[in-house]
Amino acid sequence: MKQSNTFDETEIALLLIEGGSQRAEGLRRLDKEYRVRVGAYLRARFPGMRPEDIAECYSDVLIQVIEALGAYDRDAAESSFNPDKPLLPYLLKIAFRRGIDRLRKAKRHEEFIQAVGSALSETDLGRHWKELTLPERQEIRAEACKAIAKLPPKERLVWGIFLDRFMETGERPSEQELHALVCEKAGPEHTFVSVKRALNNGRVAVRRHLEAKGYRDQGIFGDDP
Amino acid sequence: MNHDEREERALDALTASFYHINPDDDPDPLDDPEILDEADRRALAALGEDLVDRLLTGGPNQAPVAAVPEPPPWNSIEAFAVPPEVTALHRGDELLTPEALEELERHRRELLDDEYDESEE
Repeated sequence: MKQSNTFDETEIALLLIEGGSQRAEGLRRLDKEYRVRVGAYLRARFPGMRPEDIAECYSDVLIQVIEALGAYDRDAAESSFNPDKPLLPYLLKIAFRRGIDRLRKAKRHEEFIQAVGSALSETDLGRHWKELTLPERQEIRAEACKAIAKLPPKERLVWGIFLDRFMETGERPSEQELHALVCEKAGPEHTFVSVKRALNNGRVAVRRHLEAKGYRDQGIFGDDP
Repeated sequence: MNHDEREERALDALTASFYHINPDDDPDPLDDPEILDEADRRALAALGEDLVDRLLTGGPNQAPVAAVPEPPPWNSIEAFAVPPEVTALHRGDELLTPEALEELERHRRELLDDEYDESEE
């Protein structure tokens, strides 16, 4: 599915609020333009998701858009769809919620942030992170997520399970616990060493982006792959 | 916990925090198609070019809502031809005792008689 060179969000929004065949045309063009980008966002946000789950989740996003347009017809104020707002962030927000519904029972936001703060306190990394500007932090965050999303599928799966567990409990799972979880979810062929290596490879990728922003504490995260 | 372990724990927590976003915040710009691998692309392509049309018509990706027959208008002739238990909620008649069924039948006849009398007027 190739993206077009002449995609105009305003025009699409107008088609979407028209209803009937025009709405269908708007949805077709929206799908053509954004399917791959929403899929990429899901991959980056949920590294452990299987390809078929990404596709299904994307399909759920379109269903929710169709429902929101129906709600818009009945009462614009009650609908989550707003033709004056950019479409892609709207789709990504729906995709994120759908992904969360599928995969995680995330711990409450404040509790989780507190747990992260406690892990970072009195560490070199915590001090370094504090000194970074907001754009620098955002850049590291985006690059780290991309790096993990681009790990080989088996390593991505380990990270997906690791992150899900971390977010469910607010504590990182031990390597033994993670190995057991990976075997439970993806079969016993995953060895303890391969799980550990996957975790370390992800850490190296994240550390690389932190180092690009001045963080220096060599050799503390295990062997490079 | 030694220095290295503390730093590793901090790195893991920081990394996990990258994925824990508030759903109401604006999404990060993480929609670069280059993130997808071949398997992801194939799965998305397998949704087909007609995905929207299938969703709009309640195709295979969306379970069609089971059709519920509408009751006939209250003043139509069909309204009288349909026994009341058909338009009433299902009561699990197969579990009723013979006495209860007899009682229901008597009640049904009374209702039909009343409706017939009203239509005569």
